[in-house]
Amino acid sequence: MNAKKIAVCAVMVALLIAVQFTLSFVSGVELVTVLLLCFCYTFGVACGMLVATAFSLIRCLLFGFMPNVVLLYLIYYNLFALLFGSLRKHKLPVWVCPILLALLAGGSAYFAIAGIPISILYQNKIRIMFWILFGIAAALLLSYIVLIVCHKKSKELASVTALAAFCTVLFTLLDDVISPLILGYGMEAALAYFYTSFLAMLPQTICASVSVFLLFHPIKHVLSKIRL
Amino acid sequence: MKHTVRFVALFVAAITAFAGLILSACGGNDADATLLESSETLVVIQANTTSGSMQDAMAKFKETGEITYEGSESEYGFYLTSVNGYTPDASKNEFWAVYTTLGEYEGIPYSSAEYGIYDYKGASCASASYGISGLPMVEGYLYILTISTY
Repeated sequence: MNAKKIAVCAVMVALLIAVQFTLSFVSGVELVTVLLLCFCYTFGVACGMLVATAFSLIRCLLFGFMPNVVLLYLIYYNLFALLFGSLRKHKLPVWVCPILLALLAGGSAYFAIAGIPISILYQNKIRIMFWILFGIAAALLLSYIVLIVCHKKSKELASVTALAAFCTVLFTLLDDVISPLILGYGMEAALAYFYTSFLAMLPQTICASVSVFLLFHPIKHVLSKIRL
Repeated sequence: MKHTVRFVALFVAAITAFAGLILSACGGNDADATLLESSETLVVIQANTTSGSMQDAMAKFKETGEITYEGSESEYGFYLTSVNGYTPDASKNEFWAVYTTLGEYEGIPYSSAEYGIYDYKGASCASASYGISGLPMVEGYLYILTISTY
């Protein structure tokens, strides 16, 4: 890790915090996923994890220090950096993303049918949201297959888009485990927390998929101009 | 490639529009309830029918001028800031607490005595597991808003 790498990482951390702060006023819109994804993909695991850790800690100066959020960010973004940082060298087998998307679609359909034990006032809405998540996963799966079949060169784009959507869902699910555990919630409060986080997850998943699909190549192109 | 991009963009747009359409159709319900007591630090409501939420009932009483309240919608539901002109004193760790006699309904628990009990004229109300927007009005049950401290 030389001085130039550290400088690039520092600029990226500043950019991530600026983007997150600016878009925090717009519900459901975020660009941290696509920016960090492209950065990790271009500069690898070590730089990615450095940025992920620094971003998770330094953002507390703006957003406040909440132990559950810090822990969630440290775990999630480091795993995120590990995944996307290693993607360039170690290509994923073509069946991984379809399986992940099929799992997401299947899980969503299951909970849409079976329901979850939450206030009756929320049940209809949460069923609809599970069906919407099922629709998003199915649409991404179909899009993945179309991209792979029509443009074999688009496998990279199709893979990162699918993985970004899957990771965004995992972020919320991880939060639904970490926050209730750290804050000492009971089962009912944890379910209520799940419900509210689910409301934010859907637009974020759509936003992550669309932004990665549209911006992955342009941002990667810009980042690849930086010589370390 | 352009066609594929267009196809994917249209797909996602269709899903988003579909989601918005369905969610916008999820409106609130009417609630029929009786206001048993209303003061600066205590509001007691009894549900006459099983319909709507505690927030719907309070909105109805606000319309008729029987109670006043301020608050805002948040992603965690409706957040009450003041009721009948009283704003909890943060320096005294005060907050508006919700209690109800509604325990388990249709297999879902709505209150827990573990987090506190409020006795109202012999009726034991347990601390609600949801805020006023997540608490359903069920015929015959009591719903109480009172100032509490933590």
